[in-house]
Amino acid sequence: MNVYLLYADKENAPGATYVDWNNITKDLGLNALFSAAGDDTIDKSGLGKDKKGHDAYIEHAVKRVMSTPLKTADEIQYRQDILKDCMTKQYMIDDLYELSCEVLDEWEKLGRKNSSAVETRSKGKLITDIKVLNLLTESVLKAQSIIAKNIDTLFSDGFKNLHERLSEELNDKRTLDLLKLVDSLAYFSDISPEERERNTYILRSPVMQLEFSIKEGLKMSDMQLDVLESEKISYNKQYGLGAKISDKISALAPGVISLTGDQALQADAEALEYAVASYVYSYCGSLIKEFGEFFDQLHFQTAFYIGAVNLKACMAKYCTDYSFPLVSDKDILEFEDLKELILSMELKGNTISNSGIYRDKQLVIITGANQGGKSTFLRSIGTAQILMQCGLPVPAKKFRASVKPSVFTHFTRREDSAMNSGRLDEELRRMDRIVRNVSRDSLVLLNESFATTTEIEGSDIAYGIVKAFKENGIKVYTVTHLLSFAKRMYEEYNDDESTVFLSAEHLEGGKRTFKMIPHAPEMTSFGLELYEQVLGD
Amino acid sequence: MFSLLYLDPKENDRNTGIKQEVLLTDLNLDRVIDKICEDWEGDVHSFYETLPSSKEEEDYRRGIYSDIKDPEIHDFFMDYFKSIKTRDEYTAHKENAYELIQKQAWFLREVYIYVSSNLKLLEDLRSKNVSSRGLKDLIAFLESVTNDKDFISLKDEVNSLWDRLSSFRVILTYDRGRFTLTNAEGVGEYESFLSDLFPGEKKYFRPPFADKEYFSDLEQEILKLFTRKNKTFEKDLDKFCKEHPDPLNSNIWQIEKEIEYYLAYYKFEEKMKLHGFEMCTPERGEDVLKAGQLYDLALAIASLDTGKKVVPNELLLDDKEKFFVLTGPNQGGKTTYARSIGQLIFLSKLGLDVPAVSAEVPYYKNLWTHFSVEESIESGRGKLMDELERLKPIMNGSIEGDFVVINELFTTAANYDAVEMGKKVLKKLTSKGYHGIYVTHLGELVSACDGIVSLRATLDKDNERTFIIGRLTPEYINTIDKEIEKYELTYEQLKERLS
Repeated sequence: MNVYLLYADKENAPGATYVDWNNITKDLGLNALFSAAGDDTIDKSGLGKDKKGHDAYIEHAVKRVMSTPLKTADEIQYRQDILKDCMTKQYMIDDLYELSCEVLDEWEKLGRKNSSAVETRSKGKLITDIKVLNLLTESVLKAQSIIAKNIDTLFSDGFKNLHERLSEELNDKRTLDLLKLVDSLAYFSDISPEERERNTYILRSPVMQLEFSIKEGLKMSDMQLDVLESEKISYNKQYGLGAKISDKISALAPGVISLTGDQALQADAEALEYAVASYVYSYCGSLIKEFGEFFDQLHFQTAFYIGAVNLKACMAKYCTDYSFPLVSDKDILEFEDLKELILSMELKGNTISNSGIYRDKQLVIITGANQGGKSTFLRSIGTAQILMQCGLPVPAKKFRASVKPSVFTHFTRREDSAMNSGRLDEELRRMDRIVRNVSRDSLVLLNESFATTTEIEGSDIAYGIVKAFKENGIKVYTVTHLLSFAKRMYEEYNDDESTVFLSAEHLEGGKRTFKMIPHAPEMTSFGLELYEQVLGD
Repeated sequence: MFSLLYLDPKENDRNTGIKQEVLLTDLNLDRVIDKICEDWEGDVHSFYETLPSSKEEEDYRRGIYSDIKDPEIHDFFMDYFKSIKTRDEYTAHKENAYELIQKQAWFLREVYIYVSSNLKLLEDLRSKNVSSRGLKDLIAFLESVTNDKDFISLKDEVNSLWDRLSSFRVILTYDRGRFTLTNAEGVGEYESFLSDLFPGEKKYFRPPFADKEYFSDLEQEILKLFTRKNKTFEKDLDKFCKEHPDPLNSNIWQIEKEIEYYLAYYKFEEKMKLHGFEMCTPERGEDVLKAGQLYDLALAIASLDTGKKVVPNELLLDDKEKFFVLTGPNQGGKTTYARSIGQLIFLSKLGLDVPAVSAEVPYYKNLWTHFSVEESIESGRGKLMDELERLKPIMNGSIEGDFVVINELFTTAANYDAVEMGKKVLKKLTSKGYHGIYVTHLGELVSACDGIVSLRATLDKDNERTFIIGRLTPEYINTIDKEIEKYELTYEQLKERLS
């Protein structure tokens, strides 16, 4: 039984995460984004509360899903469609999420952690295990009905297919059989009598027939179960159950053995009841696994979509615009009023947006003023690419790009900037890791790489690496302070069609707009100016 | 007496070969044997601790093991082994049973499986072309046992009683505090409901009183029903038990144990192969000892947990060559290499497969080890004395064709003395026609005498240990490293790497 709300044909894509995911997360600051996804900013209660709380599981789910890029336009479309359904049918996705939370919580209480594949369970354990079976069966049917109720207003393939699969797998016959199975075991698991009316109770009593041989040491062996039911017996508290039963046994035919008053035989009967329940339950391992996995997946996948809806709300609130990205099969990057989401959330929307169209551009070199918005620009592109490849909307009026399942980031970490051979070593190690995994359709984002050594040395290293990447068809966006590197690249690639030089706009008089414009690299990075500005002479 | 391990099974003293605990621990073979036993139900330790007493016996075992590695033959023996295990359970039940008739019923079960499993094994083996002398002899042995008139009458009686008991079926109904018992066969409605709902699954229905050796009250009632319907059964069974007080052939009992020697090792070998560790049947070399991709089996076992890489090595000791002297950096894989050679010879002598891709091993009468004890209470002169004492039996041995594994000698002696003593030991051992390996930090020993092959554990250009052993003279290497080149990130290197 599959959920398939993340992919059309699988629950997940193990092993397909971004190779460099930890660095990507760190460099793009994505943890703030995951955290925002877990914040329930949407007012479902209608009571006007702004924030209901933080759900760490939703955060976790968004993080996990985002770590694995979708690889085709179809895959992205599939997820976007489901997300659009979730945006209009928020109650449904919330119901499904809550149902799976409840099931898994209850299961946890019933000792899911202690469940094991052992064949022999204690009586108490068997009782709770059968309760779990009950719980999962009922809940699966509930999930089915939640989706069925809404199916006419759902448009995505994901939900339609899920509905279809559930209807097929839980068809009338199977549903009846499952209920029969659970009911036949009720004699064992329903230990507390149900009060029907005053003093009258309903008790489940076993009716069973089994056959066997006695070839193993004259003991019961080679067992087969012919009949099993849990009969409903009502009894009156005032008279008691014992009286009721002994009433029934008046005439004893030959071959009939009565338990009444015989403690040893009563113990045998209990052992028999246990053996039968244990046997029938032994069949249910795969069922529990199947239903359990279904709820684990439903829990995880609905959590992701709730997180996605939350992120969309953040974009709407702090970035003025959001849109579902368009996937292009051409080599293009086009964006209109693109913002950097995380900074926008931090600054409550007070950020600059950028626009641009880069067709068949392979190398983008960004230079210019300190504090000019270069890193933010690079991050906004990286983040949008990751968002798109996870099926999410992006904070832009329009965003069109080709799919780049292999993204690498190599950012100088602020704390690393000290000149120190150990740091350079670490940078080289990270670069080596990138080189080992990079391929022709990779996107590599370099942010002030090799600033941990001297300008000359750093430029040399950067030149060799970026040039080698360029010549091997790897897409590189680099923000750099290494002026001799930028200059050398400009001399070599100024006329090259697939190379763009950008610079942070710098108005006369030193005013910064934080916008990126095509511009030849300057030979000064305005650091002195900034120094003066901050520290004076 | 027939045996799958010994050519002359009458011989009382099975320890004519060597059984030295020191050798097992020096070569870490104790860990290997522990691992084999850990994955096997049954204690087979002692089988692997004693070496066969002749070349022919080694070949005898190797032949049997080669046959048993045939998957079909292996399955025959596994089936046989499983029925023995089942029979052991019946025996235990019999011994624990409370009532006589119950003991007798378990005895019937025990005899039935004994008879049928031996007949089955014989039939199975006849259906295959076994090539080893050992298995051919086993077939002949089983034929003689099963054609014996006592065995035949045992078989007929047990089959008849078994049929009567096993065909009896009971239906038990339990409803509202009443049991009803009838002698009949049911239709299994609920079983079909289950198989319908869970297609392809069949679970074991564990009988409710299986773990109780005595009869429950309910089972007493069932037994009454049975004896009512089968009036003479009890008497016939009693007669059968009295007439066959001890039906199991003692030689078969011996063989059953011996089979485990091969099966346990086979299981172990399969497991190692599954983890990528090749093992092979060594060929019998005349004068050449060689192996391809030889590795330390104990290290390989440890790597299953630690995941550490095990580096295999080549081995060649040509006919004119007598002794390896192995030098190189500490922790560079010297002892491991020496151990792996010891293991190669030991396992080859057991007639079993060895940890290498290919191997050729001549017959060595004995295998000796001498490892320096690092944490000895004795020190200085005392330790030296101790070492020399332990060397004595090896040096004084007078039989040609032994193999000696020496790991660091005379570490407490002065350098000059240690070199001189080491040379003497090598001269003496080679003159006696011994082969072996001598691990040492003293490079001077390579010139002790003729027939010495100098080996060295190597380092790479960054002075990192490679654990590769080469035919090299003792020396010291040094290299320089450049940061960027080290990470292969120069433009030229990148062009190469990215293309």
